[in-house]
Amino acid sequence: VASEPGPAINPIEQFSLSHVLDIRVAHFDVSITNSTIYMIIAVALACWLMSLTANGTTGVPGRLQAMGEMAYEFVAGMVRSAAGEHAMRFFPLVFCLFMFILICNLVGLIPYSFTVTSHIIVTAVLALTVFFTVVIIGIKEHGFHFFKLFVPSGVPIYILPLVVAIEIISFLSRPLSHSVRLFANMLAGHITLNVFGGFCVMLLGASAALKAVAILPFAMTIGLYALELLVAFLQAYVFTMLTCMYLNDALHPGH
Amino acid sequence: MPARETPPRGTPSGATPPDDPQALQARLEALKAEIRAKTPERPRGKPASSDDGFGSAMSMGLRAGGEFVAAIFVGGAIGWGLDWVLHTKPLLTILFFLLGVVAGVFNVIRATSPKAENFVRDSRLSGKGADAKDVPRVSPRGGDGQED
Repeated sequence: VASEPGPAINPIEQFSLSHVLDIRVAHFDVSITNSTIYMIIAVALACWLMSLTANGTTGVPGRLQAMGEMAYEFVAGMVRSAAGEHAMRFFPLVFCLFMFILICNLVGLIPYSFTVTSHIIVTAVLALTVFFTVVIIGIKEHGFHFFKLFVPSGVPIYILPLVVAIEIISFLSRPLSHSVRLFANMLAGHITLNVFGGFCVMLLGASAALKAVAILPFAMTIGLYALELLVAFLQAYVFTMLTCMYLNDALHPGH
Repeated sequence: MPARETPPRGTPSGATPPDDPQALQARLEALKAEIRAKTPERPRGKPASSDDGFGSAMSMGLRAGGEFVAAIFVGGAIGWGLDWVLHTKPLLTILFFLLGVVAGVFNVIRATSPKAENFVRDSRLSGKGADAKDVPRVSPRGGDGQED
């Protein structure tokens, strides 16, 4: 989010990776980058919050404990409503996804920090995790019946091959849209913030008459920041919600 | 929820039964069970109140767009891959691209319309959904219901 005063403001500079610690394992670059650091921060924050929630209870929760409990109840409600009560055994997965994405998004909004979820490789891995979980659980639970997901009932036999092909494409497109949605939202939001912050800086660097105008992009930046805060939460919610819906498909494939 | 053996702070050491953390925990559990029993089961797939704010409409639109484009991409990619394997260069790419477009439309329809099964469950024809519908929802969690 950092909009540094400089000769030229590059709005995508904030997404660049930098090596913090170079590690190579058999020709593979597994260096610790700033992205890795922020992932660790996010996980540490989530662990800290949840251990606080799990430990300190005498019945009356404090603020942080209430926050942790709200997160739990929120995700649990989502899993129960979207995928049914017995989908609660996937709750750990869904909850981890939610907390990780939410905290990454929120941490990314702190100026000068790095947004992990603005890289498609990260969101793609998360989405593919969900995708393969759905496929593996579906096949394990229902065997061949899982593929009934692609065969809607009540379709005349002569257009069935067409419908099945369409359903398969639709199914395969899920991880793509699932990952691109989160990635694109974070990327676009941070670029917009940076561009407006850049306007601000450029106007302040201009002549005295233009300095007063700088208040306009500044106000816009504040508004966008609030919007980004909403988007950060909303995208974590959407990602988790879709995960639940896909799990629902794995558990009840017969439409 | 672990019942911890901490001495209740701020109370005299000979704690009266209601201040005992164990008893408090038990009361809390009882209350939770009571709340759960009274809370109507939320219809599936619609976890939050469905207000149609600008933000929700916006994200709905973006979501639909994403679903549409993703299906076209995947369709095209499958066609291209099959062409590459079967040496039928432009044919299957075109075919699967078109199928991808259709799948995209499917996706959008699916994303924007309430699920058929939910509709049946929530409609007044089914007994359970019907009486749950008339009860005002207790504490709708999940803020802005923009997705389903």
